[in-house]
Amino acid sequence: MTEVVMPRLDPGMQTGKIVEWLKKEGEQVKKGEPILVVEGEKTTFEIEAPESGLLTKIIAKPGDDVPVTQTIAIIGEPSTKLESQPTQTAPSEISTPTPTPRPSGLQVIASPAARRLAQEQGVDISQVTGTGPGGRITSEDIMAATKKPATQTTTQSRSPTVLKRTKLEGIRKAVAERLSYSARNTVAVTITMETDATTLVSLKEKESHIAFTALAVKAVAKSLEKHLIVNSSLEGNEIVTYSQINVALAINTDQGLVAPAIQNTNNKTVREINAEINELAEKAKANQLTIENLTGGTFTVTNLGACDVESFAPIINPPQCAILGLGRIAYKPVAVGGQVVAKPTTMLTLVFDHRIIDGVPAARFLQEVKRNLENAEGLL
Amino acid sequence: MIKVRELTYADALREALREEMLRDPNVILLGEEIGVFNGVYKVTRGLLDEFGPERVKDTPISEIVIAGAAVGMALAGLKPVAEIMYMDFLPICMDQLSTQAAKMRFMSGGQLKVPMVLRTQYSLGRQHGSQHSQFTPAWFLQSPGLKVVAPAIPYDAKGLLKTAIRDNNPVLFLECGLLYRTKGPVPEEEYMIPIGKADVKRKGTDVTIVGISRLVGEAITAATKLEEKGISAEIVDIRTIQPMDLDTIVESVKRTSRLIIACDDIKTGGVGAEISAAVQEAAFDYLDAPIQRIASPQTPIPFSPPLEQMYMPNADRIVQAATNMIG
Repeated sequence: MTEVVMPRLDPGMQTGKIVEWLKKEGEQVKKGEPILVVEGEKTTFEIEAPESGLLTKIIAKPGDDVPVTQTIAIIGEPSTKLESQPTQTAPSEISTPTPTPRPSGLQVIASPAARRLAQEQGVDISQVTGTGPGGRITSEDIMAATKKPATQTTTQSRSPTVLKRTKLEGIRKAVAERLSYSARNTVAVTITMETDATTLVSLKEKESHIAFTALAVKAVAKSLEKHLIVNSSLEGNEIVTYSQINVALAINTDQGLVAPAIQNTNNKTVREINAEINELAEKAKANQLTIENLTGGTFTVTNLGACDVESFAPIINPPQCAILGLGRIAYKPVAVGGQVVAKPTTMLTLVFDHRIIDGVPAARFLQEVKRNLENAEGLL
Repeated sequence: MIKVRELTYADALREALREEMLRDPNVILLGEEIGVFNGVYKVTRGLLDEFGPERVKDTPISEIVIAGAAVGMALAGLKPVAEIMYMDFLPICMDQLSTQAAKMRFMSGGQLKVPMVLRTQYSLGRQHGSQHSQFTPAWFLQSPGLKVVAPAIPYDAKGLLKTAIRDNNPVLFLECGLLYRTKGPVPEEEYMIPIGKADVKRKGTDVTIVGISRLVGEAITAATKLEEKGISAEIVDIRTIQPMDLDTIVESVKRTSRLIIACDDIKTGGVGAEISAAVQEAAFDYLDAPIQRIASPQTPIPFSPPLEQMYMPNADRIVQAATNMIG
């Protein structure tokens, strides 16, 4: 038995609408064959059967808005009836009887307690034999399943003492989902560049209320104007390049990481950007960011310099093309004209999606950022 | 050292009444046959002689008068303990109980209080027929403001009745006819038992059996039989039906993963249905089997002794349910 679930068609997708079913309940379906049409946030997609078999149950009806990962249909094992009377829609290879762990029923019969325990213990419940009434899997069966490997070896595996278990939810869950998606789906390449921070430091002395981050955001926005390809995202078979530059900024909150975007960053002054960053940080800490704040970003800046981080390679904020990680500004020995002098420097780290751009254009973009920062007065 | 002697359920109740009457002159008893006749079940034996007719009042055969007078006395500052001979007659008192007594404190913004106890009993198993045997506690789950207590053993009967008499809210005190002559240990020293606290009568690991009134004893018998089959049952005596101590039940179910509720009332819409719904709301992910209710069938109680025996929930039915659940 296989559950057909609502797929996540783009990273921001929360629900999908069933447009139509291309197959009827009771029909045979082949793995890879389109079985329904789903409308995502941007476009419609044909969804393919994950397995061959009998479409035993359609759960979500056309017009239903279904959360991603929720089951929308069930594909069962080919029935014996179809085996004996093969039809054109039931090719021979799928009517081969496959041994099933459970004799009948579309669902694993398990108690709520067993399901909870199986999840906590990481046990695949479909592989557990139920010993309760009617073959129901009970918590005892799950506990027995977790003990099996230990009985096969003489040494018992150890697990550390658990302090607490915290459910993955809210911002933490969103961060986990988005970043896992990014780590799995992007082809991330990291490049670093040391930057002279002398003018940044002297500017900061004069304009102490302006944060280094605001200057960096402005430098990035200005550089993106010249290198618009970095201001892109990959959608299916298309690279979408945006004319609007909305630099997002990673902000740490007690609930988890958020990255609100500064709309039309390139059209704003450093002072405006600085004020907006302060405002967004306040809203983030009060958990008051709106969907408008949190969507529409085309590039992200993240700064761990305040925590003494030298340099780091962040995960790309999907579906964006690149992210800039800022390290601390520190005095370092630098060779100037054959002499070693102490100069404030900082490390810029750009992580970009190699599917969208190549190394040289990415490096040219980072050089532009470096130039803008080294001539920080020009940003004002 | 605490001295403990064996007392019957009826005598334990009588001690509670007597101690509270000695303690507080405002405690007044009223009901049918409670004085000169010493009470149909002898719970009030000797109290008329000891306290006189001002404090132990025989009433006409009118339940509405008994309940209405009790509400009035309570509002006037007395602490009436009224007796209704059979629980089957509570519908006659329903307006006084549910509409008046239960709501006055709330509706007066706390200016009025109704510190009354209404004692009654159910006689299932005594061949008293359809109109004199019923146990209908679920009716009063729909009367917020009314506390409903149902002790199962002499010790709890005494401690809870004393607490009920001192409570400033109306308390419906449900006794069981078949339990009056059962005996159990009761300390000589004074003690009280809080209303709203269940009691784990026996610890176990495989199934929780929530017992109410008479069926607590049946559940304990069932637990002994289950032990022989290798099944360890935990017995929770609910003791108070409203307010209900769900925490104790849920805590137990989280350990045993299975729940049986045993109550003499009609299964449909009964106390067991309420507990079952509340437990699945609180502990769905801890259940290994559907919650089972052992209760009475949806039919009037038969008079015929063999039929009544078939009708009544008992230990064997609890054993059967537990065995089926564990499989």
